[in-house]
Amino acid sequence: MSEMQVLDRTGHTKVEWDPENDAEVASARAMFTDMTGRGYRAFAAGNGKPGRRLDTFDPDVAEMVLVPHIQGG
Amino acid sequence: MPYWTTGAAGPWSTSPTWTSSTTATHLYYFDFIQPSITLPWYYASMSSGSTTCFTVPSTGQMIITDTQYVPHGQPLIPGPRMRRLMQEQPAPAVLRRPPDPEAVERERLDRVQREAARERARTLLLRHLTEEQRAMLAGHGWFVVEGRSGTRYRIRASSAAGNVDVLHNEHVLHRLCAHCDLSIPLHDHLLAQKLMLESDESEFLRIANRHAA
Repeated sequence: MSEMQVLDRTGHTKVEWDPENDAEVASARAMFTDMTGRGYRAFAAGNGKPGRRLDTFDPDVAEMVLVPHIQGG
Repeated sequence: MPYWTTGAAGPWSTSPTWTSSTTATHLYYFDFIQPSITLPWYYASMSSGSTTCFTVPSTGQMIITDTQYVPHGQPLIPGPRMRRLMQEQPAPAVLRRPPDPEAVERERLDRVQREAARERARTLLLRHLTEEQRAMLAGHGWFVVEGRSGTRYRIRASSAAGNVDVLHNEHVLHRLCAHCDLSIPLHDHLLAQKLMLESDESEFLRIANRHAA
């Protein structure tokens, strides 16, 4: 199973999908597109590895994190 | 008559001293307040200039703050704005309003949800750190990440803002401030900063404001 963690006020919302299941991949892709369209940035990450920026949805990435818009403070 | 309280459980007084202890169960009239103080239970209702008025629906109480800074321990002296506000918002009238049980319960649930969110965010951050970074965080309250340029950044877990130190030979060159919307838990900000610095360093540097170390 692959998973996407969307950072939000609940800590994060987790979305899981089976890369072999077309329906689940389509659902995860739709969410990815929606969130990145709203300004979220996507990163492949996990197990302490450095993050990698994702510009498009890759169903084979085991773990990705969607980060809300970042602003200077 | 100016009304003051000397602390979370203190009696009303006309000669207050500053305390950092605040709860939602007492009425406070602060002419001055430390800007860094957090009022997690506030419900903003109105403001005027640098003076802000918060109300707590569950208790019907009102907190008036002023963003001017007075160091800890110094006696507070009502300023002109506070004197005017005290005349407009007499304390006893506010105190007579009974607590609203529904609002009390809402506040309790909000607090439980915030604590759960904090724990979920902390668990997620730890999953994305190396063993060494986890040890740094546990031991020092910060961890270090390296950007693609080779620059090392120290992310401090004390705050979501102004908490990224740019390191050069273990010295801090300057500090960076860039964060997500402040409604998300602290450890989510730290994870976002880590991911950005590792994989989108130039964009993070473009967004962040720089502050002297």
